[in-house]
Amino acid sequence: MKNKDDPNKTDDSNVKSNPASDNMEVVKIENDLFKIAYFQLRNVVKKLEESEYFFRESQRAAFIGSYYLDYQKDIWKSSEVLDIIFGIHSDYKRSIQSWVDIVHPDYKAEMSSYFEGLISSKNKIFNKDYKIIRRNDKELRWVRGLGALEFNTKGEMVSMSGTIQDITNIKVAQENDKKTSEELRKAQHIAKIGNFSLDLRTNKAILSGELLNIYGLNPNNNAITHEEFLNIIHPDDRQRIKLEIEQAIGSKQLNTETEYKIVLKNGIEKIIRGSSEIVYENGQPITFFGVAQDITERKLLEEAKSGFLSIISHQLNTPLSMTKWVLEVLTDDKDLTPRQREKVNDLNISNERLISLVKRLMNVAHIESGRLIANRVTTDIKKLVENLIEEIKPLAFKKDKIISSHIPEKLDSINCDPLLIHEALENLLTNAIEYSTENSKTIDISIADRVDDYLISVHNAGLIEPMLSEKIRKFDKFSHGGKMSYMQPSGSGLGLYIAKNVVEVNGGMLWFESSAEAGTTFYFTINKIVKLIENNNHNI
Amino acid sequence: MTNSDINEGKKNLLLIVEDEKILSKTMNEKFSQEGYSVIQAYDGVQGLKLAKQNHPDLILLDLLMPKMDGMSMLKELRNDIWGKKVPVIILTNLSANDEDRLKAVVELEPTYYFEKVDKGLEEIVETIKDRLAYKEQKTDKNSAVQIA
Repeated sequence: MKNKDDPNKTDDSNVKSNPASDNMEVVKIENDLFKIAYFQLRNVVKKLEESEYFFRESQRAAFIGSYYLDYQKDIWKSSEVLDIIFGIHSDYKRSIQSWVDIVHPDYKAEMSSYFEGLISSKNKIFNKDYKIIRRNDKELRWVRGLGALEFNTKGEMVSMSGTIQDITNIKVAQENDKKTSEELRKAQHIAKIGNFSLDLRTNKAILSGELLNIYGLNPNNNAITHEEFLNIIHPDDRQRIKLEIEQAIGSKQLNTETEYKIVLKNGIEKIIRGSSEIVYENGQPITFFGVAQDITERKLLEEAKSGFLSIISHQLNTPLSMTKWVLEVLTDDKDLTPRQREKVNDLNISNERLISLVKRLMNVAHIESGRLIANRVTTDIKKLVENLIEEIKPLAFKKDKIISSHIPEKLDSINCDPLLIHEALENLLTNAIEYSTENSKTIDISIADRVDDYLISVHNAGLIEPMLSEKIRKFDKFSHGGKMSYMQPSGSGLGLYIAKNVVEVNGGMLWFESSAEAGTTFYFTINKIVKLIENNNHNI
Repeated sequence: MTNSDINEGKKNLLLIVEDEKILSKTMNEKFSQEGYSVIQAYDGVQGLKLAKQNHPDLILLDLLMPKMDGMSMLKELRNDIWGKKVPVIILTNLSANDEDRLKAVVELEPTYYFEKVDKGLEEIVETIKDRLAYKEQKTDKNSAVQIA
């Protein structure tokens, strides 16, 4: 740069041009002033140099090249970086046509007409992203061209200068982003899942496109208030959902899952399954984040399936109850010979087994379709267990077992589904009787009154029968106890599966422990406090 | 002890509303043996008509029936001045574990809800005896619904 040398020269000549001054003081002062000015100027130049250096470096780093086009001579100059971007050497002929040559074939026509358009409309700003084919390696690159057009007083274009930046990485990232969000959008659409994020401080929720679609909202307005959201919910569910959200926020419960109905503006009702999470910052809830899925179709299918099951169950049970009652009336007949009576009795046993099998199958079908519902009522658990023991005594007697119960004198009533708990305990007791080893005569049943729940256990000496062990298969859902296995009771192979599920539907857990020394014990719990949400028979 | 002992000769009248002939016939046989008078209807419409005409002491009611189902018949019955109070034992093979059915049970207050496969005829007879004995003491409608 020329400037760099100029101050030095000026310095020398100036100092020497004033030696003949009369007033040395003046000279001195002038000299000093000059020196100051000189040093200041030097600093400025140095800074200029630095900034030019940084500018060059930043161009290199940002991959921004610059150019100057003399339009009338049809020639352009380019910076070093621009040459790299275009992949050209110093001997490359720089004309408008040669620039068009670099432009990707797909963009040639567009760029030419864009440029010509600017000129004819006297538009001074060039701003366009386009693709080029880099000359040296024929690689496809994205560039962003910015430029200022200069026109003379006659309105003729004179020149243009500006920058060209290689934005391939940005474009690729943008395209990936676009692709990712497009894929997410498609995935949400296919799965009918949308997501939302409610800012608890501003009370504004941002909804994904699919959620707007599910909720039947204006696709162009993705922000709604919490109240607007609640208004979409079916009046039957609104208060409950409002409460659930408040509870989730208040109790610092991390994950919530729920189901609710919504009513669209056109009156269409949908069933939604929602899962949400609360994000905390410094202990304060700040975001209520979640996904919502339209499960209407699935629910309708489930309902159809459940209706079908209920009819099948009815159809199977009708002839079974006929046989049951006819056999009973026949047993009443005093004229039966002992042999006939024995045969009628056998028929009855067989029929009862069939009834029990159908019941189990239906229970499993209900569990599988997620339709097993706990109908909670205040239940005297002590009475329930004692009645059950009475019912099961004949079977125990037949198998030469004694049932020994250890139940506290007084137990508070509990909120649970008595039929389901009965079913679970009956399965465990029948197992213990049917499958305990011959030398283990006593079956112990006990209830422990614990702080949050009652712990009910059924114990028999000895390991699980070897014959039964053969039938044991892995059953992941057992999450407690040493051996995670699934027992096949009562020949149908369903009893424990049912027991476990009915206990869980009631909010408890079921597990077992089995060892040669301690014997086999099955445990299950019944919660004393039932959460409000579960109490509404939803979410199961 | 038979029913006639309690009522000193005057037999209690039972109405069986059941579309399955074999079930109805078997119940009839058993209840008659136990000393009850029995009338039979094979659908809800006929059941409602016979109930209003004969004012039975207790009704055994099936649910899934042609013409008019059991719940609809019970609903009609509960709208009737006499029918409001009559003890009704629902005898069905439809599970009570159904939201709508439970709602109907709570609203229409049958005395019992039994699943046929769970109950022997002897048990049903015992239940009828208990209920009718209770009725002797207190002519009021029983408000406690039991599902078994």
